[in-house]
Amino acid sequence: MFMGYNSTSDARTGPALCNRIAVLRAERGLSRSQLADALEINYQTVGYIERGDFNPSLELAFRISEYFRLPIEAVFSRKPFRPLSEEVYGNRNSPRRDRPK
Amino acid sequence: MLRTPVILGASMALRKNRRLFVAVTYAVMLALTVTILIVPSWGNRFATVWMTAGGAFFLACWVVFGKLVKQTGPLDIRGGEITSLGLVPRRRDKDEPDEREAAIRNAACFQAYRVLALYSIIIWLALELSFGLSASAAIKLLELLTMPLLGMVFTLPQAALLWTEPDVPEEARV
Repeated sequence: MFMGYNSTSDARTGPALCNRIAVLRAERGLSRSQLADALEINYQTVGYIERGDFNPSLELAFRISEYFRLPIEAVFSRKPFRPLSEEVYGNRNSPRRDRPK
Repeated sequence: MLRTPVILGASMALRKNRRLFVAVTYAVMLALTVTILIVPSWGNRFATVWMTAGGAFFLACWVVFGKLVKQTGPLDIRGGEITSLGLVPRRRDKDEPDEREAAIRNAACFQAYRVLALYSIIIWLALELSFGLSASAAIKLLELLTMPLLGMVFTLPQAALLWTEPDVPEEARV
């Protein structure tokens, strides 16, 4: 802290946005550096966004989702994402009680 | 935001080294300021040498701190415009800050501005109270108070960032 100032939290522009960047990056076998180079940002910034320590601008958020070829709502959300497996397979893995008797 | 060279064997990627660097620099600045009390009156050769050395030190601090923190030094003028005034600059090369780095830099400059504003009030109050003093004592007092201001104006935002930014994680490259 410096006179009540913390550089990381002061850089955040509001409540943390949830995102799937880490999952998408792992899926595509991308390092933070590679993603950062493609987006023309610092590799540390990718980490900050992934952890929710920094909310990207709308322009950068669109650039990220365009890079992954996904709609922006598939990458960023104001609410926590459900696990991808759950979203893709729905109730298939749900407990037995959901199945018809 | 930070550039992380190795200075005298200490990596600036580590916060503890950066803090030590800032503390040593500010200690030297403080020592320079205190020597005002022993410098004789103006026009003296020693005073001229002292002023030149002090000015050179502050300029060197500005350059070095500006080198450690992107786009905060006197040499960050590119393409005919002072890019450090841009709020969210478009990155033209890897050395320029992205939007997060620019946001952090701007927050640091804002906080430093508040400290300097407060400090300038102290200078004004001291000047108001110095009317009873002799002219030479008043000048000494003014020098004593304005010297730290000069040092802080050029280095405080950078010092705040060097002090507060966490260790630069190498694993983030993976």
